[in-house]
Amino acid sequence: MTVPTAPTTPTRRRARDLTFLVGLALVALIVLMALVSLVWTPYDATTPDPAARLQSGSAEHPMGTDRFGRDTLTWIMLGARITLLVGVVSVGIAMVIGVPLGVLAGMTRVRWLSGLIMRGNDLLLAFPALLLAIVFSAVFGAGTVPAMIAIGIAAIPAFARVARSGTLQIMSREFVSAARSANRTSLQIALQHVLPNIAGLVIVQASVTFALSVLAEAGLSFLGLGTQPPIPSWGRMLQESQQFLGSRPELAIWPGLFIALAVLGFNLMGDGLRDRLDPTLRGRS
Amino acid sequence: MATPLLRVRDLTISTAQRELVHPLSFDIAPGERVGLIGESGSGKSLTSSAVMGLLPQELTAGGSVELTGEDGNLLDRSERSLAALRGRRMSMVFQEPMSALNPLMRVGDQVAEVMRLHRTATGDAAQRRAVELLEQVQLPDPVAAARAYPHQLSGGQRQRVMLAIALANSPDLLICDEPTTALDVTVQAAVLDLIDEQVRARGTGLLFITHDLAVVARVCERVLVMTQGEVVESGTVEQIFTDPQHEYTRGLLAASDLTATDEHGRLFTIATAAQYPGTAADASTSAGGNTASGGGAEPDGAAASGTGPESSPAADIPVAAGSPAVGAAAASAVGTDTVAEAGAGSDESGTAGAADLIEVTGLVKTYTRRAGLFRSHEVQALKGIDLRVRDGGRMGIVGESGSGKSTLLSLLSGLATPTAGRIRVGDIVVDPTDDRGLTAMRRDLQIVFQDPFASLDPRMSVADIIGEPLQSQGAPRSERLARAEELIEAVGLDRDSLTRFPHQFSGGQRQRISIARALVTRPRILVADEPVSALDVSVRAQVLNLLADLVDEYSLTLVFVSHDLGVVRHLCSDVAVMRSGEIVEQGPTDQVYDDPAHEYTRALVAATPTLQGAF
Repeated sequence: MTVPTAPTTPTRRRARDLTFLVGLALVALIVLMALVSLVWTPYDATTPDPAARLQSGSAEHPMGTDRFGRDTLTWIMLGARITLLVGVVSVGIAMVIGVPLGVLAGMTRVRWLSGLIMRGNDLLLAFPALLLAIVFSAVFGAGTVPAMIAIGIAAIPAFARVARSGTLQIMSREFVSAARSANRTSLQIALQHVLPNIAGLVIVQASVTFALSVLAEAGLSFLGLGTQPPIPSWGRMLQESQQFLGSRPELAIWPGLFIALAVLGFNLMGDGLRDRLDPTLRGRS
Repeated sequence: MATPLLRVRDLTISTAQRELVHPLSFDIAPGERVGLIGESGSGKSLTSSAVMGLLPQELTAGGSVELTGEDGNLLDRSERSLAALRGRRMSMVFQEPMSALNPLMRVGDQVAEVMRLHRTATGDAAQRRAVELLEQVQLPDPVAAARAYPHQLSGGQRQRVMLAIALANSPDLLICDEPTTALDVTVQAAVLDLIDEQVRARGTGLLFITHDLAVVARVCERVLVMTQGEVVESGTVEQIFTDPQHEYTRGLLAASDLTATDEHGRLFTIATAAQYPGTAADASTSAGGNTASGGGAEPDGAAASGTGPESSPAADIPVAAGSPAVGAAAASAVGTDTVAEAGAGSDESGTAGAADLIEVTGLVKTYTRRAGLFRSHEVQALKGIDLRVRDGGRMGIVGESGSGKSTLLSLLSGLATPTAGRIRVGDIVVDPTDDRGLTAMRRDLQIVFQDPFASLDPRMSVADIIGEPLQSQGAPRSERLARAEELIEAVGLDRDSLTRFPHQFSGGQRQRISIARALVTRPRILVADEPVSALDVSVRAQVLNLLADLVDEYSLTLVFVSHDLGVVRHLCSDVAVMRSGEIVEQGPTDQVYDDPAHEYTRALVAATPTLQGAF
């Protein structure tokens, strides 16, 4: 946060704004799809229609149909729900556990405690997320919930690291000394000074992690370890499209495209937020 | 001045939206030493960057910059042809020597690099020449220094290396941008002497940029005064200092002069500069006998002879009516008397040992620095400090960087644990593990921090910032707000400020907010850690006046830490001089300054640039 930012020219700032707006638009599109799917979808997701199997795009089925004659657009819309749910829950888990750990590691003066937290973090980081998810589905059975938890746990280290480095930076600032000499307790300092000042960093991390968890959920579902039938999920759509890749590639292209758009959207939004949330830039430009 | 070395005509610097530097013109004759003076944001550094062709891309320069011997306008040149000039015909020394040197390259190689680049020397010859240059800038053991990396040298030594690099190709023009601002006074004096000597010996033209008038007087022949992107006045050092024409120059001079005060005993600010008699008056009297830093005149005598000539020119000013001026002079005489008496009175009570509010005995602080996995070495930041501050006293603690003064403060305020020794504040023994004791102590002792940009949480409103110390006492929101309103007015800001955020304020205003926060718990002791060293000269005077007023009004005991001897002399009744973790000398301010007993104090006093010593 104290990193000196290069003075930005109007053109550069406009480009930055554009990045942010594109990201925001993509995210809004996904959210909108999920919201609309709650009240309306073009067709019913689970009723097969043998008459309309494996159609390509048409007026009735803009994105075509799958091997059971189910509408792909309907499935894409419903898949957005799972995607967002997985993202929100796993980022939530990672943030709620990772940020306090990071702040604690950054604030404590007990050296072994911060050492313990950060080495535990390293350990978790060395453990492949996919392996963790496989272990989870082996123990709890495959499903969306174990997948979300596994993705969330795997993302804890990223939050803990970001929170710790931000905390260390804030703790070295004079206003923390001022708060301590005003007799504020460590918890009060953490809540009143540290958290608001590292919020920008954490939010940026959250949007990047969101993108990663979308990707992870798709991967797990593709392997059959994530969302189970009959719940629609983009990853599972990809898996089911495999055998028709030669004849009906749209079946893979549509979910693949939306996974890519979601990841891109959250990444771009994260980049844009990083610039906007920098407190030294606020109100001065 | 027939053919100036550097000819700047109608130079403007602007962003896409607005003009930052308005058309300005100046010449530098060969071998001439010109000072460019201004406060932050005045455009002085931009001007020098434009001359060097180093402006950031988003800024554009207009007008013309001509260097004798080069064709045409330097501003129109390509980056490539400018690069051929930089380091050969003109070179620059920057403010921060650590960031201006490459940390991964040996110092000797960095000096040799400039010569290799311009092919003024090659191979071993460049290396040998580099050692010679390091010797010329008076680095001890230049052969060893050439092999050192920048982090192995001290700040002053690094700045010498920068100077060696800048002078390597014997440029015609040397630009120094605040070269000594980051250095301690004693080091600053040596570096200034070195710049002066080297520039004279080589006949190099010098453009010296600084905010410090006393420094300019020491090095330069001619001065340009810049404010808000405009040169408001230029002339020889003597003209500017003795007969300033522009009101901003007068204000700057008055605000810089910490020995001059108006009839209320307050420092001059830009606003009150009209009454400032000027350094000429002071200089003449100091010749007469009021040698402020020289002989051992009694403080009383010095004060009396000081007020005389100060008030008489005030009476001469036609604008101010005659009779009030005379009245003011009389008042000032009375004022100094009572101050002197008060000082004497409390001195007696001090010797009686009646009321030492702060008592520090045998304080030791040792840091263990870990170097590598198994090695560690100890750094003694404080080596047994004894200090007493009497109730109502104003104790100044003076020292250079690394003297341990900041460590002393953090121990005093319970932010760190001493290795040995004892601190008593009031009836409480400070112990960072004793929460209840600390709570009670912190109601009485509050701190004003050095950096007004780092000491206020950017995410909190001013009302919350000022009210924070009350929050830990459990005061309800309404009371916090009421107190914040009271204090924001006490420090001279309006109530609307309370809903705003720190980044909307200037440095001086932020320091006022910081002072308001420190006073909100109605403490008995105010500890100030270099509260004005990050501020511009004109703002500094205002903040010092405010501090002095508040200390009187709230009858505070002040502990004031600074590297600036002038500031401490103005504000404090007693002073302790610290060096490498020890107090080398302490006593009443006038006695320590006018008749220093320890050689380090003498060196410090002598090295401090003063306006009076300028001629």
